[in-house]
This record gives sequence, C-alpha cells and structure tokens, in this order.
Amino acid sequence: MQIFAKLPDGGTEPPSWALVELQGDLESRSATSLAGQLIGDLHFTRQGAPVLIVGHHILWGKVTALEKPLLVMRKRDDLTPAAAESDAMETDAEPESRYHVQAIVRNKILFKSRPKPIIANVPKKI
Amino acid sequence: MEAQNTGSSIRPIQDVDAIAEKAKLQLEDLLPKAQTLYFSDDCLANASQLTLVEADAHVIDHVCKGGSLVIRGEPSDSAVLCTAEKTYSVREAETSNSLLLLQSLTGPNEIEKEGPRHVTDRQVAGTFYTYLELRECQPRLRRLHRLLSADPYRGRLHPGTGYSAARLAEAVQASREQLETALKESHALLMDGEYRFLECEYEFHVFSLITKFIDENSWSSVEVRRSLTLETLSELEPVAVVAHCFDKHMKQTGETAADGGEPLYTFCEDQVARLFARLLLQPMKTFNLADFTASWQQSVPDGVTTSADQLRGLAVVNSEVSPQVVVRLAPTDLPDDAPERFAALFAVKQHWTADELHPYLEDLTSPSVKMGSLLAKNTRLTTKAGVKMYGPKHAH
Repeated sequence: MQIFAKLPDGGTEPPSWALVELQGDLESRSATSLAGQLIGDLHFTRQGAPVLIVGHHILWGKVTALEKPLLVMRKRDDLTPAAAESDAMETDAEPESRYHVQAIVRNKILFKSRPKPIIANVPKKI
Repeated sequence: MEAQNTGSSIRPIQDVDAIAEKAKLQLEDLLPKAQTLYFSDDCLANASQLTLVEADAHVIDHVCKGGSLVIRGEPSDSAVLCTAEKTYSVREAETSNSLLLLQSLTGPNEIEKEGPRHVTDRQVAGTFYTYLELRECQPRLRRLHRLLSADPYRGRLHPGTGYSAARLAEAVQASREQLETALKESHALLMDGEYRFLECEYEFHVFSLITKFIDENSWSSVEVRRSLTLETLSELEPVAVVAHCFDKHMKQTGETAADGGEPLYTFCEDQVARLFARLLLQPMKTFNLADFTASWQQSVPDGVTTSADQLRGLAVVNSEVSPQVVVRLAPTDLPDDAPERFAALFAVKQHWTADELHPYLEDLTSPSVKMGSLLAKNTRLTTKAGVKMYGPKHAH
C-alpha cells in the first residue's frame, strides 16, 4: 500500500509554525477539557530571552533552532470516498494524497529550567 | 503580519503587566509585546489529525518542489517513507517534554523594540509527546526479488506472474528511482507493461538459440548482428524476450559491418559466464571446485573467459575443505536480519575476506551503518598469511 503526503495544490513553501517545549505536562485545574483554556503569558526580555508565566510558576527558556526541522502533516478529511479508497494499482497516476504538509517548524522555544513558584507579594498598601 | 504596536487579546495589557510584576519582572526590561497562550478550541481534534515528522534537508527540499512523501509497505512491515530518490525508516520517538504547536507566534527578533506595551492572544493548535524520526536507509528490495522469482517466465505457454511498475511501487519499500535501478540491475524483463524474471533454464534456452544462430551464420564472436538475430529468432520466442536476452549478454564492439554499417556485437563475457555458472550450479548446490572450473570454461562459447570473480553474488569458494568446493549462494538465500545472516554465512565457511562478504552484506549498510562497523560488530578479524579474514565472533 502507499500513503501519500505533499503540499496542498499550488503550494511551494509550507508556512512556518512555532513550537514551545515544556518539561512535564500541563494539567487543567478543573475537570473540564483543556480546549480554549488559558495557558499563560509569554514575554521576551530585551536580550531576547523568553519568559513564560503559567499559573503560579515562572519559567525561563531560550529560543533555539531545531537540529532537524519538523514538518506538520495534517490528515485530510476532505477526500472523496472514491479517492480515499483508491490504491491506483492499475494506473501510474498518483492517487490523491491522504496527508497535506501543513507547515514547517524550524525553531522552538525551550523551557528547560524548573518552574519557579511565584510567591504572592505582600500588598504594598498598609 | 499584524501591526506591530497593537495587540488583540481578550485580556487588557494591564492585567498581563500586573501578573508580570507580581512575578518580579521589570516591565522596562521586557520587549513591548506580550503573548498569551491559549489552547485552541480544536486542540484535541488536532492532536489526532496532526503528526510531526522530523525531516532532513533532502526531504524538505523535495516537499517544497511539490514532491510527495510516500509511506510504503505491507501493513505488517515496519514503515518506510520515500521521496522520489531516497528511502527512510520511520520510528516514533517519544519525548518526556510537552511540545506545544502554534500556528502563529512572534519571536523576539520580530518585535519592535519601542512602542506601547500590548498583548496578543495565540492559539496552541495541539500538544504533542511524540514525533516521527526519519533515518535514511537502504531500500528493502528483497520483496522485489521474491515477487519476481516466485513465478518467472518460462515461455509463451508458461508466462508466470508479472508485475506492473505501479503494483511494485505498492509492495516494494523503495523510492521510485531505487526501484528503477534495482529492476535494471536485476535484468528484469519488461513485457506488455509488466516486469518478470526469466527462469534460468529458459533464459539459457533463449541464449542457446542466439549462439546457435551465430554458428549457423558463421559469424565470429565479434561479428554478431542484432537485427537479423532478433528478426529470425522472434519466430521462435517473443521478440521482447529475445531482445532482452540479447541485450543482457551482448555488447557493441564499436565496429560496424562492412556491408551496410550496422553496429557489430560481441559477448558480454561476465554476463555470459555468470549465466553458465548459474546453470551448472542449479542442480547441485555444492560442486567440486576443480570439476566446476573445468566444466565452466569448457561450456562457455568461444571468446568468453571464465574467472572466479565473475561468481560474485552467485557462489563462493570454500577452501576450508579438501577438496575445495564452490557453493551456490545468492544474497536472497540468506536471512534478512544481521545476526541470522552472519550465522548463515559462517555456516557455509568460517573465514571470509571482506571482498567475499561484500555482496551478501551490502543491503544491511546505510549512511549511518557502514560496512566497517557492521563487520566490527558481528565478526572477529584475524590475519592469515597477510590477508584479513573475518570469522564468527564466538567459537561454535
């Protein structure tokens, strides 16, 4: 069998997407799913260092280039049933691709340091 | 690209800044743009729809030129991914970290240094814990040989089973270019759009028709004419077969005929010698070396000289027994996996030169696994009379 992946028709260069790498897992505080939920605020210092505030934690990281870029492949859900079935065994024509190359990721923001807890300030007002 | 000095967000910048200050960040040390990350509404669906694939420069270049990446194989195979030229093994790599994928995220170099502080919302399309690693590997061609050898062509009444290029592309884990090269190198016959192997005795039969025709015309071994041969013999066997057999075993001399100027042909010595060797070794796997060498040279047409190096990939000489023997051994006779392959090789004889081993180990090498390291891992090197010999790592 053959499964094809390529850029969508007419594409010449996949758009660049971004990657943020965190140690461990993000967990939702409530039982509801993560969809739509706020993760945190991302800042950059004037020196270009990334800082991420997640809940009560502050994370310091760095922007690095990926050793090998990542391609983001999306499974197509718009294939006609006939195209999805086709194996093109009897013709030399290439069947429709089952995957589109959606994007390429060349850099990532890596947060490796252990999250530091943010201790709430004592209110300034007396 | 959005306007630099504005943001678009659910939360006001003041809230973001308050949190930043609570975290003891100095706002004046930060670039003016803050970005709030949210999980997108479809992040769960995306996690199953999207796959991350680590790609090298060749793969990316191929994709950007409009090429397809093709995952090939039977469901029970370990997957490979092919470009038009190369083949890669596919492995799912796990990371202990979470990879958050975002369609848009502004990096520090893209943020204007001056301007009012602002915040932009960003969507995390999905969280990933695995990605696919690609490692360039040799094409897996054994299935090609198995398919074509299973039911070879034995003549018009026994055509066997042929395979179209499209069908082979479905089954053989190799790039299009690698498959084409393999078909060419294995001398597969292309007839009526399907590839086939010729059965050994049948191929010999067709070649014998050619040598007989040469004799009947009293041509010397360097004066063979192609068109007349094909024309006449196509009355006996399909012209595609005759042409295939002729072109495999004959080559142009560079001279032309005195009458009419058609190019003259002679024997391709190595191919002819190998054909006769294959035929001699077919009924018996092991042959007394002295007898074999004599029969072999005697059987080949005039103008062809036999020599042991023509047996590369067909048979191997075993000098560890007395009298010495020649043993029929094709690469496809051996197991697929390295440890079993080496065991089978050493079962034939205990000591091999690198040259002797090469044809039987080629398909195990790759850009990352060179012959040297393969030998170092699976054999023990000794030197006999100044010659490097490779033997089993552990005595049996």
